[in-house]
Amino acid sequence: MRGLLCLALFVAVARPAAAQEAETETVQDAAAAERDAEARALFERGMALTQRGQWSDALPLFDRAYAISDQPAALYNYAITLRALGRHVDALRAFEQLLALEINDAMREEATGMAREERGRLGALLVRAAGGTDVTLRIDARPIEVAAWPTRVAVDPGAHVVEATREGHHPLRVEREVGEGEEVEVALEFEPLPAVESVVAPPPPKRGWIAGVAVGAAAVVVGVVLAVVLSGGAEPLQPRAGTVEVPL
Amino acid sequence: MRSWLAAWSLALASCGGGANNAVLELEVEVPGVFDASGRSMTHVAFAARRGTTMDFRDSWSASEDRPLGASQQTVVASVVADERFDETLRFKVIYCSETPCLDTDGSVTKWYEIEEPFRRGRVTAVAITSSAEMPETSSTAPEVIGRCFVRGCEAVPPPSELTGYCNLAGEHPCDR
Repeated sequence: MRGLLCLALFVAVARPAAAQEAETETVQDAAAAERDAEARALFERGMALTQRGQWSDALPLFDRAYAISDQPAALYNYAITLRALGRHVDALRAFEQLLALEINDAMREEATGMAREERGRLGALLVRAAGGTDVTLRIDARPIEVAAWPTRVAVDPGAHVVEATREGHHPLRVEREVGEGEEVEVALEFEPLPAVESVVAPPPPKRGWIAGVAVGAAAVVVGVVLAVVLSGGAEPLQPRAGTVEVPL
Repeated sequence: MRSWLAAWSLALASCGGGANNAVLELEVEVPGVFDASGRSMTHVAFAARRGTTMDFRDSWSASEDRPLGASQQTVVASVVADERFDETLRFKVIYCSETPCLDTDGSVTKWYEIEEPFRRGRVTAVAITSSAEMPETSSTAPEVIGRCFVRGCEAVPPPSELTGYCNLAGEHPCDR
């Protein structure tokens, strides 16, 4: 893995050298030079972190370096890092993005091979439901657009949570384990919510208007109490004084 | 009528489950000032993130820095969750030689992964003792703290090494 990243470093370092030659012919924009330097610094720092095994810390640096510089080397390392972190869906997407760019033959060959490997590692959830596609679907909290049933969603190997809602039905939550290259079916079986019956109040008894007012007032009080309780009227918990607060 | 209403309200309140958020207290044992990688680690900071497959492109928000003492001490860090209580929490203990205390090349970071850390309407707690060892290098993988080692919901004796605060059937006090 380290050797592959070094290849990308070579490509990245080679570019500034070429840029220096071009400098004699064109006046480089100062802001662009600053961005280039920032991208190179981020890239090299990312390389150092990967050599220490700190892939997760390196990832945002390669991402940022690519966003600033559009250097394929940064995107290549970003993809490699996603792969090392086991995020194969994202890694494949990054390799495919890289292959759509103009890159040298060596990088294209490496990226093509790795994209093929990543495709083989992906699992998939095949989600089905009866009826229309009027379903809000989320997999691992990520919204999924449903155009038709079944909907096939590529996922990383491991545990996944499928959540689905349909108006007038109980929400569903299903957990599934997906292996490498495995396709797992999820059948969404929605159960309708019970129908709400309207209740017509009986006519008040003759000359019983005082009792009617009392009942009405009690109903209002009960309604308010119920609303306060069910809307979580209790005070939220606070961290204990003297503790170090960690933002989430 | 008034007493009936009061009793009814109390019954409803107990069904409601109290507060809608949750607090996790991390009792972190930290060493005194120590040397690592030729630097003197003088401060500590904490950072928390949800999930095990979170988007690493997001930056971690760390707590305020706290100076290390001359000897080992326990620092309690609080994390408040307003939603998604069943998600795993990742937690970093960052030792650094200069402030602000960030997870960079000059720092040493210990990683933890805590399963089912939050319980709606409850304060739960986790003891992190291994952080008191003076680490030479940063963790490359998180140390996992299982759901049974999250304390809460019942006053219980110290955890068993095997089952934590759960019973032999694996039931957590908060689930009973």
